[in-house]
Amino acid sequence: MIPEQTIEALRMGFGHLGSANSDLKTVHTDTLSTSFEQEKDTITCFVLSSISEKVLENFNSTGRVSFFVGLPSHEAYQFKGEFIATRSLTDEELSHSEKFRNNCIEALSSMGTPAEAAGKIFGNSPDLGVTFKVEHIYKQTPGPEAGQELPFN
Amino acid sequence: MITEEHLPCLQGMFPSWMTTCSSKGEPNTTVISQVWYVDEEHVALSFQFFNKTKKNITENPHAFATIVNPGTMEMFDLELEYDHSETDGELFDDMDMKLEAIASMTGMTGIFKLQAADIYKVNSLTPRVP
Repeated sequence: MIPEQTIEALRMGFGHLGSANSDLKTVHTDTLSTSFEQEKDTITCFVLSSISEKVLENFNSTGRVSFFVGLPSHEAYQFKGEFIATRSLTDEELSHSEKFRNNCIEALSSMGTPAEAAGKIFGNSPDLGVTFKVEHIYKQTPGPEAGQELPFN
Repeated sequence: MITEEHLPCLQGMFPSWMTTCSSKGEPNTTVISQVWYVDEEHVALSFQFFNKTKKNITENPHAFATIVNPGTMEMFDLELEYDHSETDGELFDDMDMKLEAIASMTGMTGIFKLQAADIYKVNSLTPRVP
Protein backbone atom coordinates (compact mmCIF):
# COMPACT_ATOMS: atom_id res chain seq x y z
CA MET A 1 0.00 0.00 0.00
CA ILE A 2 1.35 3.40 -0.96
CA PRO A 3 2.24 5.07 2.38
CA GLU A 4 0.15 7.95 3.72
CA GLN A 5 3.23 10.12 4.17
CA THR A 6 3.67 10.33 0.40
CA ILE A 7 0.07 11.28 -0.43
CA GLU A 8 0.42 15.05 -0.14
CA ALA A 9 3.43 15.00 -2.45
CA LEU A 10 1.55 12.85 -4.96
CA ARG A 11 -1.40 15.22 -4.91
CA MET A 12 0.37 18.57 -4.88
CA GLY A 13 4.03 17.95 -5.74
CA PHE A 14 6.07 18.94 -8.78
CA GLY A 15 6.77 15.71 -10.63
CA HIS A 16 9.10 14.35 -13.28
CA LEU A 17 8.71 10.99 -14.97
CA GLY A 18 11.96 9.38 -16.12
CA SER A 19 12.80 6.58 -18.52
CA ALA A 20 15.72 4.98 -20.35
CA ASN A 21 15.99 3.28 -23.73
CA SER A 22 17.76 0.01 -24.50
CA ASP A 23 21.01 1.96 -25.13
CA LEU A 24 20.78 3.31 -21.56
CA LYS A 25 20.11 6.86 -22.74
CA THR A 26 17.60 8.67 -20.59
CA VAL A 27 14.79 11.16 -21.08
CA HIS A 28 12.07 12.56 -18.83
CA THR A 29 8.86 14.52 -18.97
CA ASP A 30 7.00 16.72 -16.50
CA THR A 31 3.86 15.70 -14.66
CA LEU A 32 0.89 17.89 -13.85
CA SER A 33 -0.24 15.97 -10.76
CA THR A 34 -1.36 12.38 -10.32
CA SER A 35 -4.12 10.06 -9.23
CA PHE A 36 -3.41 6.77 -7.47
CA GLU A 37 -4.92 3.59 -6.10
CA GLN A 38 -3.21 3.20 -2.75
CA GLU A 39 -4.17 -0.43 -2.20
CA LYS A 40 -3.19 -1.55 -5.70
CA ASP A 41 0.13 0.36 -5.55
CA THR A 42 -0.56 2.11 -8.83
CA ILE A 43 0.01 5.75 -9.75
CA THR A 44 -1.27 7.54 -12.83
CA CYS A 45 0.82 10.56 -13.81
CA PHE A 46 -0.84 13.33 -15.81
CA VAL A 47 1.33 14.43 -18.75
CA LEU A 48 1.28 16.41 -21.97
CA SER A 49 1.61 13.89 -24.79
CA SER A 50 3.27 16.54 -26.99
CA ILE A 51 6.43 16.49 -24.84
CA SER A 52 6.27 12.86 -23.72
CA GLU A 53 6.73 10.92 -26.95
CA LYS A 54 10.24 9.57 -26.23
CA VAL A 55 9.37 8.73 -22.64
CA LEU A 56 6.36 6.71 -23.79
CA GLU A 57 8.48 4.93 -26.42
CA ASN A 58 10.89 3.92 -23.69
CA PHE A 59 8.14 2.76 -21.33
CA ASN A 60 6.68 0.60 -24.08
CA SER A 61 10.12 -0.81 -24.83
CA THR A 62 11.70 -1.34 -21.39
CA GLY A 63 8.80 -0.96 -18.97
CA ARG A 64 10.93 0.70 -16.28
CA VAL A 65 9.64 3.89 -14.65
CA SER A 66 11.16 6.38 -12.24
CA PHE A 67 8.94 9.12 -10.85
CA PHE A 68 10.30 11.95 -8.71
CA VAL A 69 7.81 14.17 -6.90
CA GLY A 70 8.59 16.99 -4.49
CA LEU A 71 6.78 19.71 -2.53
CA PRO A 72 7.94 23.33 -2.18
CA SER A 73 8.98 22.41 1.41
CA HIS A 74 11.63 20.15 -0.26
CA GLU A 75 9.88 16.98 1.00
CA ALA A 76 10.34 14.62 -1.91
CA TYR A 77 10.00 10.97 -2.91
CA GLN A 78 11.08 8.75 -5.74
CA PHE A 79 8.80 5.95 -6.92
CA LYS A 80 10.17 3.18 -9.10
CA GLY A 81 8.20 0.53 -10.86
CA GLU A 82 6.80 -1.05 -13.98
CA PHE A 83 4.80 0.71 -16.69
CA ILE A 84 1.26 -0.60 -17.07
CA ALA A 85 -0.58 1.50 -19.66
CA THR A 86 -1.62 4.93 -20.87
CA ARG A 87 -5.19 6.15 -20.82
CA SER A 88 -7.39 9.22 -21.16
CA LEU A 89 -7.88 11.33 -18.06
CA THR A 90 -11.23 11.54 -16.28
CA ASP A 91 -13.06 14.82 -15.67
CA GLU A 92 -12.20 14.51 -11.99
CA GLU A 93 -8.50 14.08 -12.78
CA LEU A 94 -8.52 17.05 -15.16
CA SER A 95 -10.24 19.14 -12.51
CA HIS A 96 -7.63 18.16 -9.91
CA SER A 97 -4.81 18.97 -12.34
CA GLU A 98 -6.32 22.38 -12.98
CA LYS A 99 -6.37 23.10 -9.24
CA PHE A 100 -2.77 21.90 -8.94
CA ARG A 101 -1.61 23.98 -11.91
CA ASN A 102 -3.37 27.11 -10.65
CA ASN A 103 -1.67 26.67 -7.28
CA CYS A 104 1.69 26.39 -9.03
CA ILE A 105 1.09 29.51 -11.09
CA GLU A 106 0.04 31.41 -7.94
CA ALA A 107 3.12 30.18 -6.07
CA LEU A 108 5.45 31.23 -8.88
CA SER A 109 3.66 34.58 -9.23
CA SER A 110 4.11 35.23 -5.51
CA MET A 111 7.86 34.83 -6.07
CA GLY A 112 7.84 37.40 -8.84
CA THR A 113 7.39 35.20 -11.91
CA PRO A 114 4.96 36.75 -14.40
CA ALA A 115 1.80 34.63 -14.65
CA GLU A 116 2.26 34.44 -18.41
CA ALA A 117 5.71 32.89 -17.94
CA ALA A 118 4.47 30.46 -15.27
CA GLY A 119 1.78 29.44 -17.72
CA LYS A 120 4.45 28.09 -20.07
CA ILE A 121 4.97 25.22 -17.63
CA PHE A 122 1.62 24.99 -15.89
CA GLY A 123 -0.84 26.61 -18.28
CA ASN A 124 -1.59 23.59 -20.45
CA SER A 125 -4.02 20.90 -19.41
CA PRO A 126 -2.59 17.36 -19.49
CA ASP A 127 -4.09 15.03 -22.07
CA LEU A 128 -2.76 11.62 -21.06
CA GLY A 129 -2.46 9.40 -17.99
CA VAL A 130 0.59 7.17 -17.58
CA THR A 131 -0.03 4.38 -15.09
CA PHE A 132 2.65 2.32 -13.41
CA LYS A 133 2.88 -0.21 -10.59
CA VAL A 134 5.03 0.97 -7.69
CA GLU A 135 7.76 -1.45 -6.59
CA HIS A 136 10.05 0.76 -4.52
CA ILE A 137 9.78 4.17 -2.84
CA TYR A 138 12.77 6.22 -1.72
CA LYS A 139 12.98 9.37 0.38
CA GLN A 140 14.44 12.22 -1.64
CA THR A 141 14.14 15.07 0.84
CA PRO A 142 17.59 16.70 0.93
CA GLY A 143 19.64 15.59 3.93
CA PRO A 144 21.15 12.52 5.53
CA GLU A 145 18.06 10.34 4.95
CA ALA A 146 17.89 11.00 1.21
CA GLY A 147 17.97 7.72 -0.66
CA GLN A 148 16.54 5.62 2.15
CA GLU A 149 13.90 3.17 0.99
CA LEU A 150 10.45 3.55 2.51
CA PRO A 151 8.97 0.27 3.65
CA PHE A 152 5.59 -0.46 2.13
CA ASN A 153 3.31 -3.46 1.41
CA MET B 1 25.89 25.11 -28.11
CA ILE B 2 25.36 26.92 -24.80
CA THR B 3 24.82 30.60 -25.60
CA GLU B 4 24.07 33.75 -23.64
CA GLU B 5 20.37 32.92 -23.95
CA HIS B 6 20.87 29.88 -21.71
CA LEU B 7 23.02 31.45 -18.99
CA PRO B 8 20.09 32.57 -16.77
CA CYS B 9 19.13 28.87 -16.54
CA LEU B 10 22.56 28.05 -15.09
CA GLN B 11 22.62 30.37 -12.08
CA GLY B 12 20.70 28.24 -9.59
CA MET B 13 17.66 30.51 -9.37
CA PHE B 14 15.31 27.70 -10.36
CA PRO B 15 15.95 23.98 -9.85
CA SER B 16 16.87 21.66 -12.70
CA TRP B 17 15.98 18.00 -13.02
CA MET B 18 18.08 15.11 -14.21
CA THR B 19 17.59 11.49 -15.20
CA THR B 20 20.35 8.89 -15.16
CA CYS B 21 20.27 5.13 -15.64
CA SER B 22 22.05 2.16 -14.11
CA SER B 23 23.93 -0.39 -16.19
CA LYS B 24 20.92 -2.66 -15.78
CA GLY B 25 18.53 -0.11 -17.33
CA GLU B 26 16.90 1.25 -14.17
CA PRO B 27 16.23 5.01 -14.58
CA ASN B 28 16.54 7.49 -11.72
CA THR B 29 15.11 11.00 -11.81
CA THR B 30 16.01 13.72 -9.35
CA VAL B 31 16.00 17.47 -8.84
CA ILE B 32 19.28 19.33 -8.63
CA SER B 33 19.79 22.81 -7.27
CA GLN B 34 22.07 24.02 -10.04
CA VAL B 35 23.65 23.07 -13.34
CA TRP B 36 26.86 25.12 -13.66
CA TYR B 37 28.18 26.70 -16.83
CA VAL B 38 31.72 25.61 -17.69
CA ASP B 39 32.06 26.55 -21.36
CA GLU B 40 29.97 26.42 -24.53
CA GLU B 41 30.07 22.64 -24.61
CA HIS B 42 30.33 21.63 -20.96
CA VAL B 43 28.39 21.99 -17.72
CA ALA B 44 29.18 20.90 -14.17
CA LEU B 45 27.15 19.25 -11.43
CA SER B 46 28.08 19.09 -7.77
CA PHE B 47 29.02 15.74 -6.30
CA GLN B 48 28.20 15.87 -2.59
CA PHE B 49 27.01 12.37 -1.65
CA PHE B 50 27.58 9.01 -3.28
CA ASN B 51 23.92 8.84 -4.23
CA LYS B 52 22.06 6.96 -6.93
CA THR B 53 22.84 9.60 -9.55
CA LYS B 54 26.57 9.32 -8.87
CA LYS B 55 26.41 5.52 -8.81
CA ASN B 56 24.58 5.47 -12.14
CA ILE B 57 27.03 7.87 -13.75
CA THR B 58 29.95 5.65 -12.76
CA GLU B 59 28.19 2.76 -14.53
CA ASN B 60 26.74 4.64 -17.51
CA PRO B 61 27.88 8.14 -18.56
CA HIS B 62 24.64 9.22 -20.26
CA ALA B 63 22.29 11.66 -18.54
CA PHE B 64 19.43 13.95 -19.45
CA ALA B 65 18.74 17.28 -17.74
CA THR B 66 16.20 20.05 -18.04
CA ILE B 67 17.10 23.63 -17.17
CA VAL B 68 14.67 26.53 -16.73
CA ASN B 69 15.04 30.27 -17.33
CA PRO B 70 13.65 31.73 -14.07
CA GLY B 71 12.49 34.91 -15.76
CA THR B 72 10.66 33.48 -18.74
CA MET B 73 10.11 29.86 -17.62
CA GLU B 74 11.49 28.67 -20.94
CA MET B 75 12.83 25.14 -20.61
CA PHE B 76 15.75 23.47 -22.37
CA ASP B 77 16.62 19.78 -22.52
CA LEU B 78 20.28 18.76 -22.39
CA GLU B 79 21.67 15.39 -23.45
CA LEU B 80 24.77 14.98 -21.28
CA GLU B 81 27.73 12.66 -21.11
CA TYR B 82 29.97 12.49 -18.05
CA ASP B 83 33.52 13.59 -18.87
CA HIS B 84 35.62 13.93 -15.71
CA SER B 85 35.66 15.23 -12.13
CA GLU B 86 37.62 18.12 -10.63
CA THR B 87 38.51 18.39 -6.94
CA ASP B 88 40.26 21.75 -7.01
CA GLY B 89 40.55 24.86 -9.16
CA GLU B 90 38.42 27.93 -9.78
CA LEU B 91 35.21 26.10 -10.72
CA PHE B 92 35.45 23.77 -7.72
CA ASP B 93 36.07 26.72 -5.37
CA ASP B 94 33.10 28.68 -6.79
CA MET B 95 30.79 25.70 -6.40
CA ASP B 96 32.06 24.95 -2.89
CA MET B 97 31.52 28.55 -1.77
CA LYS B 98 27.98 28.67 -3.12
CA LEU B 99 27.06 25.31 -1.57
CA GLU B 100 28.37 26.47 1.80
CA ALA B 101 26.23 29.59 1.54
CA ILE B 102 23.13 27.52 0.70
CA ALA B 103 23.88 25.12 3.57
CA SER B 104 24.29 28.02 5.97
CA MET B 105 20.98 29.59 4.89
CA THR B 106 19.10 26.30 5.24
CA GLY B 107 20.62 25.24 8.56
CA MET B 108 22.52 22.37 6.97
CA THR B 109 26.10 23.50 7.48
CA GLY B 110 28.41 20.50 7.29
CA ILE B 111 25.87 18.31 5.53
CA PHE B 112 26.35 19.62 2.00
CA LYS B 113 30.08 19.15 1.46
CA LEU B 114 31.33 19.38 -2.11
CA GLN B 115 33.48 16.39 -2.97
CA ALA B 116 33.96 17.12 -6.66
CA ALA B 117 32.76 19.14 -9.62
CA ASP B 118 31.55 16.58 -12.15
CA ILE B 119 32.00 17.85 -15.69
CA TYR B 120 29.63 16.75 -18.44
CA LYS B 121 29.84 17.26 -22.20
CA VAL B 122 26.63 18.68 -23.66
CA ASN B 123 25.75 16.53 -26.68
CA SER B 124 22.57 18.42 -27.51
CA LEU B 125 20.54 21.34 -26.21
CA THR B 126 16.95 21.76 -27.39
CA PRO B 127 14.11 23.99 -26.25
CA ARG B 128 11.18 22.16 -24.68
CA VAL B 129 7.97 23.58 -26.05
CA PRO B 130 4.74 22.15 -24.59
